[in-house]
Amino acid sequence: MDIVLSMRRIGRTHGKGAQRVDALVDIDLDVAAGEWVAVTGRSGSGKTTLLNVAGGLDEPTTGTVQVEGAHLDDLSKTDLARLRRQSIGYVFQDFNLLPTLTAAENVALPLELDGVGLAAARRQAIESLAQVSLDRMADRYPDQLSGGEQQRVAIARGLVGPRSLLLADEPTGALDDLTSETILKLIRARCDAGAAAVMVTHEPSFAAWADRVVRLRDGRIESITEGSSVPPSLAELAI
Amino acid sequence: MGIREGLLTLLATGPAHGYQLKVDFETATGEAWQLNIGQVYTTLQRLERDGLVDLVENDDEGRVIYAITAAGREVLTSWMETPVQRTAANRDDVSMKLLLAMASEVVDPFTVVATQRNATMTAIQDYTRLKAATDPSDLAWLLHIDRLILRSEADLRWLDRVEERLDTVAIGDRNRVRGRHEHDTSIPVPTGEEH
Amino acid sequence: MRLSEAAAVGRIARRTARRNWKRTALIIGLIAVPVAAAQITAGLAAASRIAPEEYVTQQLGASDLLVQMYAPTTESATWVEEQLADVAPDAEMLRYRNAYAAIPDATSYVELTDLEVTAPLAQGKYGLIAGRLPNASGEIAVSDGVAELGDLAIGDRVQLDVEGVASATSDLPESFTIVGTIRDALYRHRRAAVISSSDMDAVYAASGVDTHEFGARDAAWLVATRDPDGLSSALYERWERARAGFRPGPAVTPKPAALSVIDDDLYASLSVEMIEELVAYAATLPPDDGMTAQLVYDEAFRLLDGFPLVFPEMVANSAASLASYESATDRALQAPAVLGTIVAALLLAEVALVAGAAYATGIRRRLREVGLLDVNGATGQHLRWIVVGEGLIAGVIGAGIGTTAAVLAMILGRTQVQGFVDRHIEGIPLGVPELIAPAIVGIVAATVAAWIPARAAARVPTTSALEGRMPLASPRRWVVPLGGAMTGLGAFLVIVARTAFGPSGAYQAGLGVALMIGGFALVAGPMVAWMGHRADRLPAITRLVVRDAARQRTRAATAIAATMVVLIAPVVAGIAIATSQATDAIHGLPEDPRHVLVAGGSGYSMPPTTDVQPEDIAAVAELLPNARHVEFTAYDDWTDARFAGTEDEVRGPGIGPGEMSVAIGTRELLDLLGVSAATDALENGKAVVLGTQDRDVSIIVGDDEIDGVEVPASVMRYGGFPRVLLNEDLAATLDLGRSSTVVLFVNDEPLTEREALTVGEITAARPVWPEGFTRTQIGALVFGGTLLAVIIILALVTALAATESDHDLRTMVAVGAAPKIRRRFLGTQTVYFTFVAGVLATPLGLLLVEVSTSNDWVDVGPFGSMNAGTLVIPWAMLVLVIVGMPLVVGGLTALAVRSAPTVPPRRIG
Repeated sequence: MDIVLSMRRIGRTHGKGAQRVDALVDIDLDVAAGEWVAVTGRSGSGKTTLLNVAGGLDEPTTGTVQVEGAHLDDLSKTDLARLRRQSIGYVFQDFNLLPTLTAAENVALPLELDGVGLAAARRQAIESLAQVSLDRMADRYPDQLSGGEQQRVAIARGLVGPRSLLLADEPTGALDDLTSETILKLIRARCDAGAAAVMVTHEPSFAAWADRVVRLRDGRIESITEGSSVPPSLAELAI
Repeated sequence: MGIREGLLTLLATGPAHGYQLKVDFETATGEAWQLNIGQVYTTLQRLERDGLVDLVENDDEGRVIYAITAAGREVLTSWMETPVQRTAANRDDVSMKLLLAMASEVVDPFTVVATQRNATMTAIQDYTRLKAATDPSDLAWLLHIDRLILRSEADLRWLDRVEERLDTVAIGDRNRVRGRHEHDTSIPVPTGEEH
Repeated sequence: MRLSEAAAVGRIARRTARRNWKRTALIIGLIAVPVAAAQITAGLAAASRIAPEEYVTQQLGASDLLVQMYAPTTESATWVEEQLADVAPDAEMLRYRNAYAAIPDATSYVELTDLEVTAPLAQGKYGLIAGRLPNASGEIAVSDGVAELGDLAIGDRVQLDVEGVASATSDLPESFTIVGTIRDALYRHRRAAVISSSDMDAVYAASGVDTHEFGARDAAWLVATRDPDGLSSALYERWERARAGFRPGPAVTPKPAALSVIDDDLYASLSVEMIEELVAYAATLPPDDGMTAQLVYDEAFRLLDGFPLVFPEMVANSAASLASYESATDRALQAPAVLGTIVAALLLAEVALVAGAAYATGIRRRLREVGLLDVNGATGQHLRWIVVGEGLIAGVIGAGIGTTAAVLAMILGRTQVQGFVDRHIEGIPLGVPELIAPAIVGIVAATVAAWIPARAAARVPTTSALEGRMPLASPRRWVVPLGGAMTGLGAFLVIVARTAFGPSGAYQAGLGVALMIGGFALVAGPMVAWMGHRADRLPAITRLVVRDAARQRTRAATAIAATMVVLIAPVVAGIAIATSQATDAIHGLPEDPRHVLVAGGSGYSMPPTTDVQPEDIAAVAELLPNARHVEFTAYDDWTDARFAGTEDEVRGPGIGPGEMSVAIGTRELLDLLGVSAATDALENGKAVVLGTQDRDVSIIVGDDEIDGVEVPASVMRYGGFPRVLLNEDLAATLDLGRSSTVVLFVNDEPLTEREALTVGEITAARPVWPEGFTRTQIGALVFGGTLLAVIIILALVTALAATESDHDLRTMVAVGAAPKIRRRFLGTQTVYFTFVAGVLATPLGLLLVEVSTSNDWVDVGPFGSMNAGTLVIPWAMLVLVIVGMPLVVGGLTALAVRSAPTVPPRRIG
């Protein structure tokens, strides 16, 4: 399997001396293509820091991060920006879209910033929107879309064109349970189609949609659960 | 979960006689679980028969002192490290195990929480996969699975809460058997009738 | 940046500009106004500028050399023709004559010529607008300037008045019929007229050469020749040898040693009596006095009644010599360009600051979007261009609107423009450079305004931006030195610009002013931050305000700088007012625009030599029916009245020592002058001195010292106006020379420009020329305008800032502050900004005035003129600007804004 994201012995500390806080300690994590990893933990356990380090928004104090084989610490600011345009898609809890751009333009943005021609960028954006069943709403502005639709557009943007790594920070945090489930099914489908995803959430029932659930405690990986190798039979669960 | 594992846990912290074990048990469980002294002795005899405890000696006052054997420790550890099975989801069992773990030094209570959480998370993952594979029109199944997931989620929440509470109370302040045993010399002396 | 990147970036910039249309509209307006103003200024400067070639054409027409004989006699005119025939026998030439006359009811002077306007050699000097040229006696063609003044049209009949000799008394036709209108090649208001040669003979005969000032008439030749400069040199050479033969010798030879300071031409004008009197006068002067030469010269002029004899003088100008003369005088025309550039630079600096504050606030509110762009792989360059693009769009639209407005104004106001610049304008007087340069500067201003917040936003760490947080960076170490350096360089450029005339000077001065403001704006940021650290002991609200400003340094600094620019105006105006008031104390109070003085004689000579003419009094009385007037006796000598015991330093009222003319004061005259309080003193035998303050003085009249009282009163800046009033008895005891009757009219209202003009046409009457506004009015306008501008700027900034501080204020209300805290907060904020701006503006204004007046006397409109040596700093008024202005603005803000809403704070998305 292709390893899309690889984190080795990652440490991240904030502050110095008495104020020193270890946000991440000795994290090792690989995410392969087609794999979905959920990160859970109590608040302050380092979930979001892990996501920021994975996407190059934050620099680790120690250790190395590789995205599609590229060492992030070797990259200049410009190269990091290009990596984000070409490989990494972010989805946040809410307000993911630029209010001045339509859904299609939002999705096409990373491609256009990367120099893809306008027509080609739009075609790929529509394709990506079709995968989240929103191609009909391509020319709507964000304020004409519901919260769930906005998140779907964000996912479409997160995996548009060559992008292969989706980093999601509480992507369902602002949605009700059933809408959340739609979003999670979408991510599931995109991962089954070959994308890699890392999702931070504090909801176990949402994390359970991932292939692996990494639980952080005080900046360390406390456990990784992958479900039973032999799933329970239906009979076993009967009332 | 039985008195068996409870007495083994208490003996793992040090040898003790029957009445002391009754008092310790009640202390560890917050006196929520009252033991009959007869129950204690019957259980101790069964444990001795299975080679999990040894009869050590009579003390100054002629009382019988029991101690845990290596085999007893092995049984105890494996019990502690085995999560309570979801199918027989019995929260009381989980609580008991945690209370006892806190009262003894055999196993870190955090380990118990973590173990139980992993098991519960795995279960939720299993349910979720079943759910993902279920036909959306099969409402009966979906509702049942949702219920299982939400109940497990409640368990996880509770485990989180346990963990947080454990964090807030310093180790020395927990109900620990050993502490009372060592420092409180005014344990009421059992009368002869109780033998 | 590739095309699709630019398209994506441009699309976001465009949509953001549209989405925040209020801000965009504000900035578009802010850009359009100064751009249009600068373009119109540049257009006017360009339109009024006369190219050397144009001037040459106006003078030479199609010829190569213009030979003129001023104040010609028949002999000297013939001499020129002989010389021309001798030196350049083949040269083609066109002879004509010029003379001056008046057209009653139209103009006090008109240049008459008998030039054959349509001759090939004269092509380009004049154009025929309508009708035809005169070809018989009694016909005249007037310029459009004359036609406009006298409201004349073809077919009208006019009289010509040649220096007081009416047409009827000479060979001149009694009246002339206008047969055509002509235009001058350059000037729209040129007062010229063409008459036939035969009528010109009569004009020549009527205007005696001896009594007229230089240039009252001349004879001229347009010459076509291959070598105009050679011909010109030859003529000058011959004229040098011949000129002595065309003037009478002096009355007394040799020239007495005492009169060696007088030049030969002036000396030759003097009669024997005059020479004797002058020698006697010179003997009374103390030796070794630096003033001696000047006094003797002045006395000679006085004896000649202001008009020495004029002798024939020849001038021969080729294109080359005319062009060099014109380019030397060209610089005066750069003045509006210099002023316009400085004003435009100030305005645009102001715009950049206000727009900068608007963008700084906008970008803080949109940090989340910046973060989103960041995680989608936008580079710093992309981010900067999105914000800068917004400024660029507003700048381009603003410049476009401004340009359109300027062009429209120039087209619709063409008549006014032509009148203003005194030129005939073909098409639109706005060239591409005049339009492009201000437009580009406007676009740059908007772009620069967006650039700094854009840079700051691009530097915010992505994670902070996503949370909508802009971390407080400590001021960069280079900011203060850079600000200081910019201020210094700016001041240097302004100083240098004073000595460098022409366009480069204008740009230097503009750049210098912009640099100084930029420097102060840079320093304002760290200053505000520094004050934030020292706010611990301040009361809660003030502390909140100071800390808030420190936290939002960029916005606070730009608001302060914008206010500072505006506050420079009252500082400069205050200095001008204080200086002119101090000057009044020396030179007398401002003239009263209701005064008209009517005296005998031509009105040129001062003091008057003959009694006032009844018809002149009647003419003025008819024109000003509501005016009161008093007749009184004035002494025609420049009586040597001066303050006892003073010399030059304290001059007292009047123009200078010994320039206070004496008259008989009456109760009526004192009433009319508004100094009736001095009547008792006058009747008790004291002299009344019209001066600047109430005090007892001692006046020396002739050899006598008289006690007197000085009273403040407006007097005309004219030697004939009385300054020392005596009662008849006192006057009789003094030797005061000849007297004449003069009349003072005091109108009920200041004369309008038209009335003043008409009064001016009555040669014996002198009005006070009206000014547009009085000093007090201008001062009030400046202060009112400043207050308004400060309020507008701070209202904008406050409105922008409120979007940020409202969050904090709601929190404060939630924890128990009264809702009116918002009013107090915003009011205190404007007080704080205005106060800091005033503290910065005061030295900047002082420096600007000091620097701009250091080399020269600077004309400051109704305030007169200032020079570094005469500056008076009005400290009390400056304190008022620093303390009073903030309190007024702050109070108004507190009244105008609403209390804080009590809704609990929400997260800003």
